[in-house]
Amino acid sequence: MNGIQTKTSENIFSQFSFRGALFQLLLIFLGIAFLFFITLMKAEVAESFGFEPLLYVYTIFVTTFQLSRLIAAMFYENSYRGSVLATSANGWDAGKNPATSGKNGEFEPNVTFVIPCKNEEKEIAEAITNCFRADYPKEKIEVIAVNDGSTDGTGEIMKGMLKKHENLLVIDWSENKGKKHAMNEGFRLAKGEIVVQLDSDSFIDPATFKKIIEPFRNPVIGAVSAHTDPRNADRNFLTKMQAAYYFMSFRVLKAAESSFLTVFCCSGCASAYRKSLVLPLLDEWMEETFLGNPVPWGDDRALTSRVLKAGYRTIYSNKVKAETIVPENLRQLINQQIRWKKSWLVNAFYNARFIWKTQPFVAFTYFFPLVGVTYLSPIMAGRALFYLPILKGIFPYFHVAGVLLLAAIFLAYYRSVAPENKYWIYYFPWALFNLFFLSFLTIYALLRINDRGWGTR
Amino acid sequence: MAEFNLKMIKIFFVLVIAMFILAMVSGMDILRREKIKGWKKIGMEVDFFRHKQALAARKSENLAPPPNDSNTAGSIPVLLYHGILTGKNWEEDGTNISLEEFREQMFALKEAGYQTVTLAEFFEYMKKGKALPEKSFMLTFDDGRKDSYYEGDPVLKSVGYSAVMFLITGRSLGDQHRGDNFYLGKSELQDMIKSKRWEIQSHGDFDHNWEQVDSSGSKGHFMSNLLWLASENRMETPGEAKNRILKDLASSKIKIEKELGQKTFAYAYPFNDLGQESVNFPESQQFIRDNIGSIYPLTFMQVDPGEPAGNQPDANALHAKRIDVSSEISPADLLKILERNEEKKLPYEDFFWDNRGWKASWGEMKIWGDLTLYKTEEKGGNLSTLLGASSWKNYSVTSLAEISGGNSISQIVRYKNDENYARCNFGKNGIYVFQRVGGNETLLAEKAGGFSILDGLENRLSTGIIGDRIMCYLNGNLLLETQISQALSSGGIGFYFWDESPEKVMIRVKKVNVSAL
Repeated sequence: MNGIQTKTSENIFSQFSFRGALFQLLLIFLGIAFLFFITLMKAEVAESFGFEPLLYVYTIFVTTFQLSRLIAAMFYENSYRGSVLATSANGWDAGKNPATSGKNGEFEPNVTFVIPCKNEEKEIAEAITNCFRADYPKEKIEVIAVNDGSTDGTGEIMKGMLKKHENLLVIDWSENKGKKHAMNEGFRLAKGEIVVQLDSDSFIDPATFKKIIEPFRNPVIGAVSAHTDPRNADRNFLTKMQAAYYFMSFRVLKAAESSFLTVFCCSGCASAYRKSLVLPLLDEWMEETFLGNPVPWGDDRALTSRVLKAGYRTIYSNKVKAETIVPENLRQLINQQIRWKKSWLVNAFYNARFIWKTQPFVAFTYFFPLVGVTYLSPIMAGRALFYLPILKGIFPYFHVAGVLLLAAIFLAYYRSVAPENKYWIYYFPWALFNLFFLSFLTIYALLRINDRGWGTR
Repeated sequence: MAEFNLKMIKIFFVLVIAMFILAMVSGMDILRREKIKGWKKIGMEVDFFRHKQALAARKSENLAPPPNDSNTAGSIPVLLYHGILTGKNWEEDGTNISLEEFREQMFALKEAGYQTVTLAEFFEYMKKGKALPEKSFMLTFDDGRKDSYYEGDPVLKSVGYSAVMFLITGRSLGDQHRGDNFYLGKSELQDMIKSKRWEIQSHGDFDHNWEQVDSSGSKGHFMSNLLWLASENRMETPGEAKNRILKDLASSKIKIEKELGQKTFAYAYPFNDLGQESVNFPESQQFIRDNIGSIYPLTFMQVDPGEPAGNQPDANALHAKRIDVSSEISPADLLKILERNEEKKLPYEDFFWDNRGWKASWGEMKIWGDLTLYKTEEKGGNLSTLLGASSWKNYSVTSLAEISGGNSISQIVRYKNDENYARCNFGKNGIYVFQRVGGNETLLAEKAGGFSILDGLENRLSTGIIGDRIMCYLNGNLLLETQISQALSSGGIGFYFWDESPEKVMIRVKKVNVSAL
């Protein structure tokens, strides 16, 4: 125990190193230089109207908010090592309890994978096998596969695998109940202390699997989200854009949330939960309603919200690599985005009620500003893209340039943390796609919030 | 340890964000106004030297002799400018002027010997007839735009001129409106006053706004309309409108006096609307006319470049006139406008070898050794008058005229403007005296009978005017004498005809003599 403490202390000091700070400072100054250009442009725009105080406050607010995400993301590594791993109050008795300890005294609890699936006969065998392939003691891995009323051969394939894997549990439902029910069942039947929830089309890289367990040795950590990239990224332009968008939303935006140990959505693709804390939350989670109706989408976000409400912390780990399949055509993508936005809206209401009590810092520096930006940005985008050009004949050069500049600042960081990621350039079209189209979907999602359909997948 | 680390991150995070906000707010602020003034000041100094050099380089060209101080000005023209623009892509808009044109105009005025007067001098001149040197004029700018100061001031400094800025106080002063990157702010205005090159006066507080004037959303001028009160879903009553207008006029004055310490007594009408452009409150014109004097003893209206533009002492005058100058007027044209408006002294003799100030209000006029007048429409006529003669009182005018086609010609006297003058009408069927006061024409006297006005023959026409007595002579014979309105106490000369027949009419005036009586 002593040894571990010394080691982690070193880690902290290495985090506050001069070189590291200098590099970050450099990035920040770069940001300020960009900012100066942005303000210059805004001023240029303002010249033709005179000074508008509201617009001025909005500009400062939004730009600050966006950049605050980048700054927060810069603290991610430091937070992971210094705030997650370096804890004196370990959640396990190293070496004393053989159930949670490995051979060398590291943290090694039992793990249960829960894989809900429906009509995935092509993927399911590989998905299950991949779990057992994880770089982790075999006897500590359990897999629960839930056949959620498949009409194809999924159930048969699952059952066929029972012979090969003694730690596989198959739950076979003849009727479709939904992913949430499958997860609920998985949590209740799981033997492992940590439950890893996987989409049937998602994989966790076996070599990095250990890292999703590592944070749980800190007793305040309730859930860990893996880093997820699209497996079908090279399929077409749309998937390439999503690859850049995924990387940005995980490695920058989730990492930023993670710096304060408060990730608001542990991705449904691949996330791990501490079972002991989730079990008491399951009933309330299952009965989730909004405006009197059950909420069929966004189970991952809803569960994360409840973990946070219970007083636990949630983080993102860039060290666990997961892959998933992303929509390959526009219609699927739009449907997915609408579901996500609806789920965001529903959970924003849910979170707003407790987050200011449990996490006041995060609530006021991030959560409430985010709510503000989410509602304001489509309005301001509408003003810049439609109102001004059509009614005043002012083309939104500066608004678009500002959005691209901000994307460029984010990409500077993206490139610095992942120079090998080749999709970065697609973040520019994504930013425009978001500006001209997706941001307005928020309004649509809000108006159609009572349409609880799934949309075509 | 972990908690400490998290706390450190929060502290660092907040510090960096604070840095960002500071950087942005100060960046905006710098761009928005005052802090960048230092840089702009340096730029203005550089501009001043540039202008000064450009002026020196021109000096070799012909320079007018300095005006003789003993000659006093017969009238004072006032020039009006708005913005001074430097952008390459700026196109002539009828309101603003390019820096280049503005500088050329100022240099041309300087070289022709013109000198600016201050507002106080102008006021003394207008109200008490204070003597000012000839070739005096006053320079004014409307709206309080940043570009008129930053671009204009170095030019003014290089030629030693001063100017009056009519400020929209609602956009430059007050708690919420402290100027922006278009309108001047308080500290700039203070600098302007300190330089002694600028005087700040009122162009209204909020009356330069367009306001909703009915329930359907039509817009109209603040000063001359009843406004739509959206919150109460009704029209303003005339009483409320009057209160609002007076309040605005007063608040503008108070803002300038309080915040800039500048005595405010002059007002320039926004949009040059004295009430005549009212949509739903024509009464406003009379109301403004009756009340504005108690707040602003000196007000300014605009005239078109062709109209009489000289201002002459008149304690009762409601408005002083300003010439609206834009890039459309070349420096040479501007000098011509001023020269033609220069007050002419009696006796006056004109052989029409060049235009010394004649202009046609309607019809067509040509000066080529004689003054030729035509009508431009079949049913039409001609009204041509001499600028810079509005102070003439008792005089007789004699002209040699030749009439081809048409039935008559009128000799105009005591011409103030197109709505106020008297005329002797010499016709084939008789001689008449008409007067026009406030646009209403009345026949005062007539003498019927065939007179010897024949086509193609030279006729000597004379009109004498002493006090309110008008006398019409044809070829030396007094034919008609009567009295005209007291309202036409002074004014210049001109010619008039009206013809409804399809035939072509051409009148050639070969010579005009005016002598004092």
